[in-house]
Amino acid sequence: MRSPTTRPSALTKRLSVTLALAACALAGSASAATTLTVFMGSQQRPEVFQPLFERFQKQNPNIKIKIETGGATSEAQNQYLTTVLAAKDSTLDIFLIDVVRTATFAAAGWAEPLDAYLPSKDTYLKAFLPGPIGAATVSGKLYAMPAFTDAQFLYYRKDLLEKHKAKVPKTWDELAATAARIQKAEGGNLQGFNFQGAPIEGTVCNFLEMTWTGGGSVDDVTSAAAKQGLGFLVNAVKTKLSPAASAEMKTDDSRQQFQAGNVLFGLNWSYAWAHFQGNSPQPTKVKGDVGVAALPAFGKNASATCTGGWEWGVNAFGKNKAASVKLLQFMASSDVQKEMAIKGAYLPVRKSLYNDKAVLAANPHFKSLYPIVTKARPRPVTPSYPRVSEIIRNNVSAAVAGSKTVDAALSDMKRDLTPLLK
Amino acid sequence: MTTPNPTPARRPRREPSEALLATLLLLPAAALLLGVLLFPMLTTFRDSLYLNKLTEPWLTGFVGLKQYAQMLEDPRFGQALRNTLFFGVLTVGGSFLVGIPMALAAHLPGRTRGLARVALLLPWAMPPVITGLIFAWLFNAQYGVFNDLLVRAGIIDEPLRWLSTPGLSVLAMVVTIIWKTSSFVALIVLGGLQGIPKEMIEAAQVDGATSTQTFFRVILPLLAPSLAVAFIFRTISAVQVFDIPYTFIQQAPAQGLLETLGVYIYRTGIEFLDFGYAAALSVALFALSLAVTAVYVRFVRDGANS
Repeated sequence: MRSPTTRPSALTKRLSVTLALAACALAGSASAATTLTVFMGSQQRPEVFQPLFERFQKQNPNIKIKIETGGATSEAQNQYLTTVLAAKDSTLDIFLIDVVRTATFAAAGWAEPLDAYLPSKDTYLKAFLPGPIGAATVSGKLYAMPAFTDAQFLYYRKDLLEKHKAKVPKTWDELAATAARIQKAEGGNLQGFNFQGAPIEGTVCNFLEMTWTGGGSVDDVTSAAAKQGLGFLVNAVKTKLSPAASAEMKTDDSRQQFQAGNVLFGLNWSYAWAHFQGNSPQPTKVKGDVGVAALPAFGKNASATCTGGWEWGVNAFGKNKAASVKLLQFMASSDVQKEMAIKGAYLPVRKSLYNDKAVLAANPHFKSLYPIVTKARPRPVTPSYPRVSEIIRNNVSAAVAGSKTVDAALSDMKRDLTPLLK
Repeated sequence: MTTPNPTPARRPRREPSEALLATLLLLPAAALLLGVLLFPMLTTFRDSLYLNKLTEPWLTGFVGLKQYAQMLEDPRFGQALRNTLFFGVLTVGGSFLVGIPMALAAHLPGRTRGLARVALLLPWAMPPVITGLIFAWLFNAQYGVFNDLLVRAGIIDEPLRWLSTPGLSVLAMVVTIIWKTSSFVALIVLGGLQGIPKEMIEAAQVDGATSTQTFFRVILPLLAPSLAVAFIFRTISAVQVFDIPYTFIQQAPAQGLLETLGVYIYRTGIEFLDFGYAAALSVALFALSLAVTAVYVRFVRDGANS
């Protein structure tokens, strides 16, 4: 039998977690030690969190933390959590979830509301960015603690804009005109505009952004703003600003093509930056030539973007909720957020860190990201989000593929969304 | 093929303790089967009679057959059922068209036999999800190998958008499933081929049969039992197909054409968290598989009697 204090191998992890919990249960109050089991996906870089957890353990000798990893993709993680939580399993104390899952976890009764554990909640949350807090809030209650935030940005090639004496576009029309001009002058396979059109989450965001920046909203997807937004994406493919296979473009395809120097303007999340600068398995051809800006808008409308990122939830069936919230507050503390930003380039959830010298020294681009992340908007916060997302992404992808017209895609979307968003 | 066995020597009658021992030895296996098969089956059936939708957790309680009635009015269920049958017919047929020649290549002596035997095992041993991901890459519009080959061969000018063109995505999925499942057919048929006595083929050749005649008149009829077994197992797995469609629908927008019953059940339960309705859908899929199995059981029984 393995001792619960040694680091277990992947195979025996479940077993030893159970044993550890059993040992704790048997020991009862005699040892007074609490073991918190934290679940995260293996692509969530547990190695970044491990040293932070170790520091927390040093500060709180009564609390031990075990990381449990599973599922390489967001779907696989969610599948695992769904199985565990639908069975009201108490073995996990804390889980790291995608912001879009908050409402589902809240409605299902899986995530513990944190309000009761945070006596001065409003004062405490003032220092946070509004987007991630909004995404973690359902009917006025806080169901998760933002771990790190994210948003979609407009990445552009500084060198190409300079060479062709073009400015960073403020409107989508400017973007289309600049892209067409530079694409023509450069020739070759340069893509003027790259976005995600495969039936994935990034596509949902692209569509919402196009609609928001035209003054529309998801409440009326057959509005003129939504037509204009989806029409822009479809037209970008038709006019060859965007690749013919845009309906198959996934987030990491976008990143790799930009990194290979094939893209002038591209929409992507913050993780792409580090890859472009050379911190990547693939070689980069754009190091030092990449700029980041807010998304353009239609006419005089305001820019907008999608809130991404992940958050910590506390298992409502867990046995150590108070200790769990303590760990969550530690992870959201200024010091820890700062270290995550410096060592892992995670976008902090606290406003002040976007002005922090050490953070900006490690990530100079964070300064220009701040005005964008403060304007980031959540995707629809509803327990039925998985269906909402499916309806949006399939219709947008079909329109981008050309197998549905813009009007047909939007009216199908409206028909299916209406009963879910009422 | 059955070869007549010499009558076994008369054994002494079993002692009662021996029967007891046999029962005891079988108990763990029986308990395991009851635990992992019968118990979930019964709970799934029970769940299908109750509302259990975690996105609207206040909706609970016994609803009887209401969720089965819901199924009849659910156009997505109808579509998923039609898709399942459509893919079933195409891929079961396709796996025989590819599998039988593969089995012959692996059976007949020749230079390619070793290669054919390896080729036969590889798709069979590969996990279906991996197969789905690999083929999605092969069919990729921008970097896919298939497009590259077709363009080089001058068959097409522009790369095809396999996954985002509705008809092509169906074709791509059919090709993938056939590639994956043909080796199962080939393995069973190879087993059948090895049971055919050489003398019968030699006799046919002595009588002046061409190799085509030998195949259709001698080999194929003798293969009938193996083919039937392969057919039934392939049909059951086709009805339940999940992994490859699941990987494809994450890449292709024409999901209405690609979603099988297995995928719809997964989405309803694991993604939309409607466990009650997912249970009802599972019972429907179970009934469909059971119908195919009933044909199999009848076939085996009749085969034993004849």
